[in-house]
This record gives sequence, structure tokens and C-alpha cells, in this order.
Amino acid sequence: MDKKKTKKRYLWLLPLVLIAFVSGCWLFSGTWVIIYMVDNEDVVAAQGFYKFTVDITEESVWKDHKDDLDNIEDIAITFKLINNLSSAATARVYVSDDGTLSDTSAVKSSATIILDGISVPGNDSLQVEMAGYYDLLQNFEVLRDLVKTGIFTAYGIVPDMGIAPDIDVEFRDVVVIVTFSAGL
Amino acid sequence: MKRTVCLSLMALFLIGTASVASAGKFSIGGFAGLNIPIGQEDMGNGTLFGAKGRILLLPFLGVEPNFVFSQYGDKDHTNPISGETMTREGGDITSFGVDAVIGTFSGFSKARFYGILGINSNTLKWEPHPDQTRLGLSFGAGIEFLPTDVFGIEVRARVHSISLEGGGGRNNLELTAGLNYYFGPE
Repeated sequence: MDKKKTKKRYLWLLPLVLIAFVSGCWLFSGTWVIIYMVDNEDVVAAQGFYKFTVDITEESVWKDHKDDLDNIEDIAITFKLINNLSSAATARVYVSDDGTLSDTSAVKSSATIILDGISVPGNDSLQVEMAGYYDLLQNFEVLRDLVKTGIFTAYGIVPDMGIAPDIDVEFRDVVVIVTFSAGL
Repeated sequence: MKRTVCLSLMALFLIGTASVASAGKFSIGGFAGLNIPIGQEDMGNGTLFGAKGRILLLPFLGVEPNFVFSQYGDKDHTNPISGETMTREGGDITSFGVDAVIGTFSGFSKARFYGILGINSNTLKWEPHPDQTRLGLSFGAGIEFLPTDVFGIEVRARVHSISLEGGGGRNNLELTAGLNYYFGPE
């Protein structure tokens, strides 16, 4: 076969060769999702708040890819809020790398608020799903930085109720969904 | 409103392509197909559509200015406590770019097989996160059939890789079919 013709036949391979040289590392990146469940017994009632710690460092997907972590792309938290009071309550969720905050004042001053205005009628419950969560989310960048470390603590408080220590608004059925990208 | 803006941009783009290519053989065309995320557990399969011009610079080389609007499908996750389905909405990507196509483009009445290498600007929208406009690269292959002197029917597979703010990227396999209409002298 003519040598020139043979060369021409394989010309279409040239783009594939070129792309391998000019592409950035994002070409070899994937996105994973961790669905982390917090046991109800790990949602601890403390001085005027509920708290739970999210630790994804023991998740196998995280272990496999944490060394090549590119970015935390999304974090969603779903939970059930049970209001045992006869009047409506509005809850907030704060996050911190400090799991030892001891009262609501410390939470308000040291932690970062990520959810506000979660209203639940008296003697009723509310399931916060992903869509509702995103509508309430704020300070995502702070939450993202905390999740990058693999561990953070969330504090749920009802600031207007003056509840302490026998809190009457309970946080239950917490699920945290972390989406991250990492090199392959 | 969004659709009107997109259609206006597409029209401008096609008119521009036609002007630039007025000296030689060129085509304009449209395509549609599937957008399949590669290695992305948070996105489902979606659809795409777009428009492009093809300017044949040499018998083996053409350039294709292009516009692509692609969507990801929603992704369902199961809540491990309630067992209910949690649905995460997929985002969308608006892309403008230029692909080089390398193959055998001389002559008609036969199939043309070609490789694709491109660069593009992509605006990614994924609620509730802010939009981001990022660089992308694309590569792939296609085949075009020419039943007449002026019409081409083509199918192509293109990997579209987009960098993300903060690191990482999104890689998608785009499978499309389209129609091209040729103008200009042979």
C-alpha cells in the first residue's frame, strides 16, 4: 500500500494524540457521592441545642479518593424537625470544626449559620428535603471548607424559644449528601 | 426570554460563519442527541442540541464554530433512613467553541470519516450554586454521508471535558446526529 495513503488513513487519530498533550488534569477527573446517615442516637441534645458530628473520613469512597481531592462540589443535609411545643418554632443550623461548643451563645458566636428560617408548626413535624434545604442554604463556602477536612459538627438551635436544657424541638433522621470531585 | 436570546445568538453565529466562509466550501447545520456524563455519580443522562458551521480550509482540514446547549438529567438517591427517593436536579451547559475536524473532505458521494479536536467556553448552571464560565476541550470522531451535493447527514461521538472552578472537571460523552447544508464552490 502507498505509504502516503497509509499516513492519510490514520490522520483522524491526530486529534486524540494532541488532546492528550494539551488537556489539563480535569480530563481525568470523576465525581462521587457519599450518602452519610447520622444515627438518631448520635444526634445529641445539649444545653439548648441538638448537635451531631459528620465524619466521612471512614467512608471507603472518601478513603479511596481523598488524596486526589479536587473539590467539594455540593453538600446537602436532609433531616426531620419535630416540634413538641404547642406554638410554631423556627430553627437554625450552624456548623463548626469545633465539636465542643457548650451553649447556644458559643454556637452563635463561634459557629457559622448555614440554614435559617426552618419553620415548623406547633405539635407537628417537618421533613427538610433537598429542594427545601437548597432554598434555605447560606454560607456554602464555609460548609465546603469544613467538609474538605472530612469532619464537622452541626448544631441545631431554636433561638426564639429560650429552650434549655430540655429542648422541645428535636432534630431526627439526619442524612448528609456530599458530592466531590477527584482525580482518577 | 432565554430561548429568544439563544436563538438570536445562534442566528448571529450562523450568519457570521456564512460571511467568513463566503470564499470557499462551507456548510451550516444543526444536530441533537444525548449528553452522557462520564464518571459523575451526581448527574443523569440528558439531551443536547446545537448548531455549527464547517469551513473547509484544506482537503483534510476544516474548522467548525459551534454552539451547544446541553442538559444533565436529574439524579435520584435513596434516603437510607426513610427509603424515599431524593432527587437532585441536573444542571445545564451553554457552550460556544471551535472544533478542528481532520479527515478526508475532498470529493462527494461518499462517506467522510473524521476526527475532532476543539476548544470552547462553557457556562455551567447548577442550582443553587453560582453560574461559572469555564474553559473546555473536546475530542472525538464522526462520520458524514453525502447523499447529494449539498446535504450531509452525520453522526458523531464527542467527549466534552470542562474544567471547574476550584479544581476538577466535568466530562461528558455527546452522541449526536445532524444535518449539514453545503454552500460555495468545490
